[in-house]
Amino acid sequence: MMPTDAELVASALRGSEEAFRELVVRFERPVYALILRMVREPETAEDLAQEVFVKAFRRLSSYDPRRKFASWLFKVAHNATIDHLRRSELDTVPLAAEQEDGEGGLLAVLADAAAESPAAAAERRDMARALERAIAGLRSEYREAVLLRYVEGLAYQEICEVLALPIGTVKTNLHRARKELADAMRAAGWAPAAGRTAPVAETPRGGQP
Amino acid sequence: MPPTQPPPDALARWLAAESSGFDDAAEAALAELLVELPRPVPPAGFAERVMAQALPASRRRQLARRTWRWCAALGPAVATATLLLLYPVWLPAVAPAISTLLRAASIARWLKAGIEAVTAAGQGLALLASVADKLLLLFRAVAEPLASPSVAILAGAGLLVSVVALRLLYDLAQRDRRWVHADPI
Repeated sequence: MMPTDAELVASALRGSEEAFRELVVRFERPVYALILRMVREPETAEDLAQEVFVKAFRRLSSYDPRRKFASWLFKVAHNATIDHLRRSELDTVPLAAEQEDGEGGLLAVLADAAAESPAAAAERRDMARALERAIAGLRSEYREAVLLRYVEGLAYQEICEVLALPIGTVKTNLHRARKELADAMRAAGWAPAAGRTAPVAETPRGGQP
Repeated sequence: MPPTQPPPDALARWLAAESSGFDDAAEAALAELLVELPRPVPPAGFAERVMAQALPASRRRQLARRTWRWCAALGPAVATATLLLLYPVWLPAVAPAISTLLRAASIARWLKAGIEAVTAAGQGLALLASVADKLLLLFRAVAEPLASPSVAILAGAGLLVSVVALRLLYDLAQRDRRWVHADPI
């Protein structure tokens, strides 16, 4: 039977390196994905994700096992990301399309991930890219709430703990974010028309069929 | 269906629910859509790099803690054992030095040094007492007006304002990591 996160934390606190490695392996993808979608630079995201795990390792004793480990870890990731964005002021600088699509860019990384499924239809890939672009266009606080809620599946209360915001604010942010996302998708030509969701204006980019 | 493909009708359901104002349905459809997005994977060897970065510091700390515990436990015993073992070596070297020291010293000199030390300590205490006296005077001067109710109320209000200001400053510092402060619904 797989040990729970809390059990792994307890083992790591007793000095088990293997237990901490297991925690890293369990959470490397969600933490990296969240940070990458926030900072939009794969190299920076990797550095920050490493920093998050090293910090978590050093402060593991401050983790309260009554809470969900993922929430605690996302909180560390949130702090590292926000500190980085404030330092570099990337928060308000939207990336140019070439920069996003270029080698090593966010969309290139996502395309690599998508390449795991060779049968994926071009239309669906385009839709995923359009969604990623719409998410990237959201304000940082909306984007993070959307990712935590809909991608990582955190409950409202857990998001409140991660973002240190009252529940009302989190709900407001999510509601507004959803509206903005829907508007962006409609503006990109993804409005449902006669029962299908094919793009009207969106054209494949970056050599995708 | 491969896991990275969004469900075919989720987008349509989501956009329709958003237009109609069905929040729950919109949430569910969007979650369905987003959870299937390709999730970026960290470059190969990420966990190993994290471990390489995290473990040396932890090992150094553990080693330092263990060394300190052993030193504290065994240090005095080792020192005593060493002294006893080397007794034939150190006694002949140290004994003449001690006897020379004792011979050179006289009772009068010991007494004089003792009296000087006591005098210095007394002077230090007197200095401390005078500082304490001045502080006491200051406290009395401050406390005297507080005997009148209006001043006491004013001082209390001042204290309250300071506490509130401190609390606000603390909150501001804590909120530094929040993105925005949108109005709750």
